[in-house]
Amino acid sequence: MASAIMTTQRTPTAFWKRRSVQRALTGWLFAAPILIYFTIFVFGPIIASLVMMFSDWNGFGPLEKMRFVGLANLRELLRDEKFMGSFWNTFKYAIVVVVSGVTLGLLLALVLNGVNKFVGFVRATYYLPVMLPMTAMSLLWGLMYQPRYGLFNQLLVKVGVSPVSWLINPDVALYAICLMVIWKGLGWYMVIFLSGLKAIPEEFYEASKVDGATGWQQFWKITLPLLRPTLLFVLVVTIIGSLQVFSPIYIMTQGGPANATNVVVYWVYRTAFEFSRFGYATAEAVFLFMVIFVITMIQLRIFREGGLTSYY
Amino acid sequence: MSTSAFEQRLAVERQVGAVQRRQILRRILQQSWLWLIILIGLILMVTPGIWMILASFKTRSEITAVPMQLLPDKLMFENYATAIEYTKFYNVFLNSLIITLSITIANIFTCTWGGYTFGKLRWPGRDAVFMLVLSTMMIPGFLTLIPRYILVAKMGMINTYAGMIIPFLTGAFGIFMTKQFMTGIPDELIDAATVDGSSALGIYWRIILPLCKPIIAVLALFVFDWAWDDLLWGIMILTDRLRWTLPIAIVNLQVRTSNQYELQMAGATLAVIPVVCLFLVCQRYIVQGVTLSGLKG
Repeated sequence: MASAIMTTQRTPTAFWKRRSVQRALTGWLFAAPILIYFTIFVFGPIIASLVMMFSDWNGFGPLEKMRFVGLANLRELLRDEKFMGSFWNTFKYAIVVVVSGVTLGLLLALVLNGVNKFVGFVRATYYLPVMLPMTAMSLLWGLMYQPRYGLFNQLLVKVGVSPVSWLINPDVALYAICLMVIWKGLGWYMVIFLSGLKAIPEEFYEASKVDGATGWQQFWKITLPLLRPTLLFVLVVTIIGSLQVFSPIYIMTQGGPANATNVVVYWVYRTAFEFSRFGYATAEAVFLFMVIFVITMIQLRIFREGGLTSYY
Repeated sequence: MSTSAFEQRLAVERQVGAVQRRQILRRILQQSWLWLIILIGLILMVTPGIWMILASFKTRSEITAVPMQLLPDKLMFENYATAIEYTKFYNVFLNSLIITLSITIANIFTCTWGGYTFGKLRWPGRDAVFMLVLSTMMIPGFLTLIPRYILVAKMGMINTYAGMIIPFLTGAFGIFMTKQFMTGIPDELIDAATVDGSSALGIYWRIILPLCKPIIAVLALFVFDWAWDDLLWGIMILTDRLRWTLPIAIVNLQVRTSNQYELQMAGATLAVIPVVCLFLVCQRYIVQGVTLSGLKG
């Protein structure tokens, strides 16, 4: 009797059933710690953000005492000149940094793709500033931008150009910070584009050459279309990254002069920790995120149909 | 007759030679243009760093001299001594090292664990869960900044290493990168181990981890570089001077010494040194890593 049960259990279907149950169990057990961690530190806080943005919590009292103010935060936000100023500054900054980074990085990659000696050394040297700490580089560039004895103005005076008040002039300060960030990030763009260029088969260029294509045509008809996945990756990552700029602003200008370099993350930080308006600060952060989200979705649509799944 | 044929051939060869020479000349010209651009770029990349190191050895009057003085008269090692004293360097360096290394080591295990779970284990619901994790790559850190701060505060982790480490134990990007890497590990290897009676945990430990060494190097490098430079989370969590990390101490040095640039440059140089060492040792992996993250087949 017992042995009969044993044999029925040993049939192939039963074996595979047990095997697949075991597989599912193993998989979910392995995924559990990751899911729990992401729930606590990512999904939970996202939901908390979406709740807190409707409150006027000051960050001190017990959470239960949080008072909800409906859409008051959002209404205030749209009329808040300081916040809206920081919002537009953030976008100006992101556009300048990303557009220059992509253009210069691609140009540099094309140049480096045309030579075949010392490539490793050159690539590494260009990449070095990417690795260097932003805090240290902000101090350094702060000194280089010093109006009287900073490196930039000393050089400008030497070639007979009138000196620039880099971080003091409200019309220049934000771009001065952009310049530093572009300098620091250029190697990253270059290395990524270079690897993208290396992946394009040489035959494409040879074939088009036979057909009489010029270098310019080759760039627009072969290089750029085939770089599309790389370009998409670079744009998505750098736009999300630049909209989060904090350290250089905190160190070099503290949002000044005349709020010209006030950016959202810096302002969110101050709203929460200086003015103790945690609810309002959250509303500011969510507002920026919504805009980034829309932009990212548009990018994914433009560059590739199918959204996130085709992104990797 | 034979002479004219010979001359004809000579003329043709001369012409071919001229074309070749012109081509070579054009190539040399083109190459020198490219190298000119590369060289200018290299100078622009390196100058600020050299400027920083030089300034860290100057006196204040040498830094503020107009017209500028390129080299210091005497190497002012005192700048470093003072900067070390002002920043409580050994203390904050140790804090930074403990925090950064903990985050890095944790990420090595959690990200390979995630990569194995989503890349090599086969289980129902896997792809949906992976998409959920992956979608957090679209969530910028600032969105969750304040709730995370409150969470850490409520857990009593203000002014602790834990408060600096625990929120950064893993990341969607690292999991994604290791998962991509693991597509290169043949399934037969894992199946063979399963047949031999290895558990999933055993396979992770004895097969996956050793085979992932290259991606672990890349991952460790990027996580280290990022964590070493964190400022925002640090100034939120660490209010106690003794707990400060190096970036916070460097910023404080700037606030405290307003225009004592020689001290600031010495401090900045000290903050840069560990990263440069790491860079020199791991150069190979850096380029490989950026390439891996940029090219998603």
